[in-house]
Amino acid sequence: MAATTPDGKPIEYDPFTTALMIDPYPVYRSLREYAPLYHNAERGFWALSRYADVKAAASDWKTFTSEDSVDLDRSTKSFGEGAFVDFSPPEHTEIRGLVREAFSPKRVRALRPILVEQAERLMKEFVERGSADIAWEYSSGLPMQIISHVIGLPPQDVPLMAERLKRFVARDEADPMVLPPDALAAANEIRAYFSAMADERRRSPREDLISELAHASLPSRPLREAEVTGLCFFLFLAGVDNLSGLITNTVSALMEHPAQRAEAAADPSLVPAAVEEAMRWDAPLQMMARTATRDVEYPGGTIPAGGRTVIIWAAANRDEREWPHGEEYDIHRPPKRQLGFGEGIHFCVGAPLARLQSTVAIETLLKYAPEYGPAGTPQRVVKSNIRTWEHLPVSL
Amino acid sequence: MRVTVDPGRCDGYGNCVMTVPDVFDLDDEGRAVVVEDEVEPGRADVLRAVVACPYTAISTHED
Repeated sequence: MAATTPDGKPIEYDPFTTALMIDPYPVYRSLREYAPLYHNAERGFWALSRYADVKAAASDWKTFTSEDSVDLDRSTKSFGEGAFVDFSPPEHTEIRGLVREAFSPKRVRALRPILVEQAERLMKEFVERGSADIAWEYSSGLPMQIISHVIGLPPQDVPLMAERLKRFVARDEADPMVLPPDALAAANEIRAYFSAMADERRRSPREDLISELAHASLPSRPLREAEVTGLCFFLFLAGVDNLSGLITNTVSALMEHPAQRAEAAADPSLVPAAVEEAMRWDAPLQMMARTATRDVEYPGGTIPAGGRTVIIWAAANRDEREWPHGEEYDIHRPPKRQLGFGEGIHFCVGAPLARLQSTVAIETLLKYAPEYGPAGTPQRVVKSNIRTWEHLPVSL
Repeated sequence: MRVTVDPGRCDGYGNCVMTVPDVFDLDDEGRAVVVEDEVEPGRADVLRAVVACPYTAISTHED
């Protein structure tokens, strides 16, 4: 039986539709209220939307495994070996442990001067020009340079790799659940690129993450070359795409709320809260998939063993049971755990770097152009699990 | 307000250290430690660090 509201309107949650891409939040509200366990028979998944349910499912990796990919379209399987986002302990713990060091506070803090310099350089250029595509040139451009620097890509390769990433995440509207041939080709090119680079670094290491990984061992065995490649691919994508979404969505939220923006411009100590609230209110990574390893009972029904289950972070983050006036953006909200970085063992390993980059990006924007405004037609990213702008033209 | 970290729960992600470097640091084994255990009651950045911890290892106590 299809889910309906009390007055008989059908509730349809299909993350692959344009309507949902434009504004998913009314649908999320209906899901939370009337269909907290939702079943989409056509696409073949269940969905959880309440804060308590999402949090509990994400915290229980034994019942809700990531091993069958955390994307409905299974695109994470294209990263190759080593991409621990789809792993379970103990392997997950070991590989993640290797990467965690690279994103430790000490290392992340050392990146701050580079970040500030890059953000200032870009912003000065934009102000002189009077306008910018803030999503593409700033929110994507900045993380692209930083993650490239961390992994060890030479600057001249960055534009080509940016292009490949863009091809990898592009989908055909007709069949959005399947990776099109060009996305698979781009994945091959990215893996080949990192594989050659790892090979080179094995012979002549430098001060970068790929050199470290090329020489790394797990407690039980040395890291395989395919794992080095897959890890770099995954970190590269996560370090650009999800992060650029967080910066863009914060820029956009503040543009829609000029009074709060003025407060943050006058008092930069409010910027971290503005970023955190944007993550709650409009998380760039809206949802992830898991697979039930056994029958899981809910008041409204059962997710059967093997059932693909979507956990909607962005719906949970506006649940009024947890967040008074959850639909409103409010940088003065008392601190509370939002789920935009995930929950449980798969909590975002790059969260400290993401928070730092977003904070520096927003601080710098507000310093140079506190009253930036819309200039032209923005364009959304077309991808089922991502909600952000691909192009967001602003005047500065 | 007193701040404590449960070393058994901490897994060294360092979100707290990034949020409030004057209150938290990582020790040689990569676990979070409190370097300033008495802070102003209700300090917003400390409360943000509490909720940002992936393993809910940080607690505050009003004396």
